[in-house]
Amino acid sequence: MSTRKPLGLAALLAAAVLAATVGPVRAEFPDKPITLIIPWAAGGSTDQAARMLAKAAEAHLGQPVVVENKPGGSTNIGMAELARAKPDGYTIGTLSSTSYLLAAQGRQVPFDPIGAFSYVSYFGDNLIGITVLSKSRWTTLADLLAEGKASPGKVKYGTAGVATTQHLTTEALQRASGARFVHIPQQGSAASVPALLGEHVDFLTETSVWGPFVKDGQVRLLAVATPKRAAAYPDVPTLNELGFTSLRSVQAIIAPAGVPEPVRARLEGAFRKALADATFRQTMERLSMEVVDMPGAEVKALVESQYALAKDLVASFGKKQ
Amino acid sequence: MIESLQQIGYGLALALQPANLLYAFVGSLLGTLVGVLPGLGPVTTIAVLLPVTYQVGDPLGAVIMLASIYYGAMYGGSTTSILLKVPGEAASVITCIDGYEMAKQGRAGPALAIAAIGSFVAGTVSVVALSLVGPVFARYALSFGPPEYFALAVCGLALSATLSLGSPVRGLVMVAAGIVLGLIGIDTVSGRERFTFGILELSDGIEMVPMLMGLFGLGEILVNLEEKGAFKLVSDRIGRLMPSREDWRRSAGAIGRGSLFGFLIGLIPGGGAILGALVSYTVEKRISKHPEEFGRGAIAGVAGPESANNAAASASFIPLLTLGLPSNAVTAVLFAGLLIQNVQPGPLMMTEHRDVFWGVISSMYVGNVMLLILNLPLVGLWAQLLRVPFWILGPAILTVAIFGTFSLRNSWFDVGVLMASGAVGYLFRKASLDAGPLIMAFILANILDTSLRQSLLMGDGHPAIFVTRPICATILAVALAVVTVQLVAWLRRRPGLIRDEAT
Amino acid sequence: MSSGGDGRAPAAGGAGLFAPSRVATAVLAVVAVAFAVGGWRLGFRDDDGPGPGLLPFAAAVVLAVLLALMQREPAGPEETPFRLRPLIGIALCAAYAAAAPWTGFVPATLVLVAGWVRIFHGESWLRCGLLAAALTGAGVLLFGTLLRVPMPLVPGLP
Repeated sequence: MSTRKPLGLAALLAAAVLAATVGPVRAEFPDKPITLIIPWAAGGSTDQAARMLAKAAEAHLGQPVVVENKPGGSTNIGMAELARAKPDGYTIGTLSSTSYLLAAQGRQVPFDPIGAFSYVSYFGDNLIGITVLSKSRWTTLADLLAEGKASPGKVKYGTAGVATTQHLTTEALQRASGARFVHIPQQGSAASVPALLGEHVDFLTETSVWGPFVKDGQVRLLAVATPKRAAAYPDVPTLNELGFTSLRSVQAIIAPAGVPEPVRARLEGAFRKALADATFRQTMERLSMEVVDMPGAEVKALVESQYALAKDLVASFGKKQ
Repeated sequence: MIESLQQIGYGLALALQPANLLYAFVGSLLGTLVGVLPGLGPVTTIAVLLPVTYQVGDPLGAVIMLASIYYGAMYGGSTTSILLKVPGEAASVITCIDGYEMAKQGRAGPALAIAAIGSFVAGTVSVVALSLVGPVFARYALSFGPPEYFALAVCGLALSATLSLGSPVRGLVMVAAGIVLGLIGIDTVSGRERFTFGILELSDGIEMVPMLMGLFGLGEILVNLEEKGAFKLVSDRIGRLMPSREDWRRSAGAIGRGSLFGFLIGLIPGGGAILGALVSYTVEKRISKHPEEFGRGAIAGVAGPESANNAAASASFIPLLTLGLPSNAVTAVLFAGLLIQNVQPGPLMMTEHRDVFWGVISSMYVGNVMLLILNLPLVGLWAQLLRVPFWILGPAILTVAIFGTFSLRNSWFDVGVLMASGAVGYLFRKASLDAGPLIMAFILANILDTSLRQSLLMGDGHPAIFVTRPICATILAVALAVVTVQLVAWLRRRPGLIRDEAT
Repeated sequence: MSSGGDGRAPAAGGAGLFAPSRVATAVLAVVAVAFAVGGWRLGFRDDDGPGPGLLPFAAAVVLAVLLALMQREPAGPEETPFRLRPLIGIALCAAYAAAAPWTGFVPATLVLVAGWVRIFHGESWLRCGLLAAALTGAGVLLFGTLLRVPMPLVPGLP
C-alpha cells in the first residue's frame, strides 16, 4: 500500500476546500453552488422530479444546484435540517404535503411546520386516485360509498400509511358521505399495490403506483383527487366534481424562513422558468404528476389552507373514535 | 416451455452484444467492489449512478448495468464477512458465523471459494427458474398478505433462537432484546413514534448497517485489542485456497438447498435475501451429520446461506419485472432506474418492452459467469489481506466502517450508532451473548408487529384469520413444529448436562 | 466486596460487580424496564385491535424473565474480566462520534487513526501519521470524490 499518494491528494483536497471557503466576499446572488435538500431517499418520485427541476434551474441561476438526500422520519429529518439552515438562499429544499400533514396530526416536530420556511415556487401535484380490482362489484365511487354506508367497517382500504395525504383524503370522504371503512396502513406506496392485487384490501387510495394495472385492465380507477381531471385519465371524475373535499398532494420548493426577499424572488424566477424544461416535463409525465406553476406567495397561502383543513379533519376523527 | 427457451435465446442474443457485455462487466465489477466495502451497499451505489444512466441512452444497457451491480454486490458481500467478521452486505451477516471461524483456522481460501461457487450455482439456478416459471410464481406470491407475513416472522423467530451457539436461555435473551430494539421508530399501524425519545434519526428505527458493522466488526476489533499483538487471525497460515474433496462433499447439498430456499423466499414481496440465508443456515445445522461444527467453522454454514442470499436476490427480480413490485430497497431503486429509461415495470413489460425484459434476464446468466471468473482469482488476493499487520488492518476497517456508515444517509447520528454498537458488541462477546439471534429478531420484529395488527384489522379483530388461510396456517404449523422439536431436544439434553456436571 | 477492578483473577466467571455478564444483564435490564414502561404508556389496545404498546411490553417482560433465568446459568466459556485496552478503544470511538460533527472528517479521522495506532500498537509517530493520512485520504477519495457523498471534510463547511 503506497501511503504517499493519498497523503498528497488529501493535501490537495484541503487546499481546494480552503480556497472555496475564502473566495470573494459579496457579489450578486448566487455566487456559489446552491444545496437542494430532498427529504426523501434517492430514486423516489419527488427525488426524480426535483433533480430534473434543479438541473433546469441551474441554467437560470448560473450556479450548480447540488442535490442532497436527507431521508428519514417521513421527511422530518430533512425538513428539520432545512429549517435550521442559514437563510441566505444557498440552502433550499423540497416540500411535500406529508411534512405539514404529520404536524397537523399532532406529531411532535422540532420546527414550525408552516412558519419555519419561506416559499419559493410550486412544481406539481401527485396524482392520487381511488382504485378497486376490475372484477369487484363497484363500478363507480357511489357504489363503493353505498356499501360503506350499508355495512360499516366491512370494506377495508389501504394507503401508504397513517397521516399521508392518501389517508386523510379517504377519511374526509368517509366523513362527507357517512360511509365507514377500515384503514389498513401499508408500508409505503409500493406495498399498497400487492395488497390490492392479492385482495388483502378492498380498495386503495394511492399515488399513481396503480397506473400500469389500470392500463392492463386489472384495476379500475374510480376517482382522482387532483383539482382537475388527469390528462391521462380524462374519463375519470375528480372528487371535487363529485362534491367531496380532497387534499392537495403538494410538491414545492422552499427555503428557511428569513431569506431576503430579493434572493427569494431570484430563486422563484429561476425555478418557475425551469418548469418549461422539456426533460423535467417528461419526467413529470412519466411519474403521472401534473406540472403546476404558482408564485411563492400563493404557495404559502395554499399550504396554510391545506394545513388548516387537515387539522380540522383530524379533529373530527377524534370525535368519531 | 419451448416458448420460454425461444425468449431466452432472443434475450441472449441481446445480452451478448459487445456494448451490453461491457455494461454487465462494469456493473459486476462495481457490484463486487461495493459488496466488499462494508457499509456501502448496492442501494447507495445504484442511487448514485441513476443520473449517469441518462447518458447511457439505451434502456437495456443501463438496466443491465444496474442489475449486475445488485447481484455483484451479493457476491462481494461475503468477502469481509469471512475475512474480518464485518458483513459487507446485510445479507451476509450469517456468513460471519462460520466463515470467520474458518478464516481463523486458516481456511479463508476454501470459505471464499465456496461462497463464490455457491453464489454462482444459486444465481444460475434461480435465473433458469426465473425465466421458466417466474411469471407464474409471481402471481402466487401475491397471495402473501399480512397473516402470511406474520406466520413467516413467527417461523423466523423460532429459527433464530437456534442460531446461538451457547445456552438456549442466552440465545432467547438476545431474541427478546432484538425484538425490543427492532420496534423502535414510527409504528406503521398507529402512526405513532415508539421509543424514539424525541430523536428524529430514530424515527425510522435504528439503522441496521451501522448496527451490524458495530456489533460484529468493531466488536471483533475491540476484542482483539485485549492483548497487544494477539490478533487471532493466524496471518502466516493461509493454507490451501480451493476447497478439498471433503469440503465439496459437505457443501454440495447445502448449495442446492440454499438455492431452493433462497429462490422461494426471494419471490415473496418483502422476503429478503437475509431471511433466505437464515432459513438455509438453520436447516443445514439441523440436518447436518456434524451439527456441533456449526459456529465453529462448518463449510456448509457458509455455502448454504451464501447460495441462498444470491438466489433470493435473483428471485426478487420476478416481482419487480412481472408485477412492477419492488420487494426490497435495492429493487425499489432499480424500479426508479427503469422508470428513468421510460420502461414501466409491471404486467405489461413483457409485451411492451420485450427486449429489456428478456435482455436483462439473459444478461444475468452472462453476469453470473463473469462474476465467477472475476471472483475465483480474487480469492487468493483477498486471502493475502490477512497478511496485512493488525496495526494497519484494524484502523483501516474502522475508517471504512465510519465513512461507509456516513454515506448511507449522510448522518452523523449513524456514526454514533456504529460506535455504540461496537461497545455493545464487545460487551456481548465478553458476556458470551451471541449477537446473531439479536440481529435476526431485530429484522423480524417490525414485520411481526405490523403484520399481526394489519391481520387483525383485516379479520375484524378475530384471530381466526390465522387459521382459516391455508398458507398462513401451514407456516404457523411449521413454526410450532420447530419450537416443539427444539423444546424436546433441550429438555432431553438438560438432565444429562446436570449429571455430567455432578460427576 | 472488591469491584473486580484489578481484573487479573483467573476465575472463569470473572466474578465481581463488573463481570461482563453482570454488566450486560444490567444494561439489558434497563432496556427491559424502559420498554415495559414505554409500552404501557403507548397503550395495549387501539380501536380495532392490539395497540402500539402491546408487543414492546410483552417482549420487554419476556426479556426480563429470561434475564432472571440467565443468572442461574454458569458463566459462558469465554467469560473473562474486561480489559483496559478495549475500553480505551471504546473511549476513542466515542470521542470521535462526539467530535467529528464539529471538526469534519479530515481532522477527526487523522487524530483517531494516529492515536489508535500509537496507543495500541506503539508504532512510531511517523508510521502513525502516514497511516492516518493514507486512510483518511483514501476514504475521502473513495466516498467523497468517486461516489459523490456530500461529506463535511473540515470545520465551517455545510
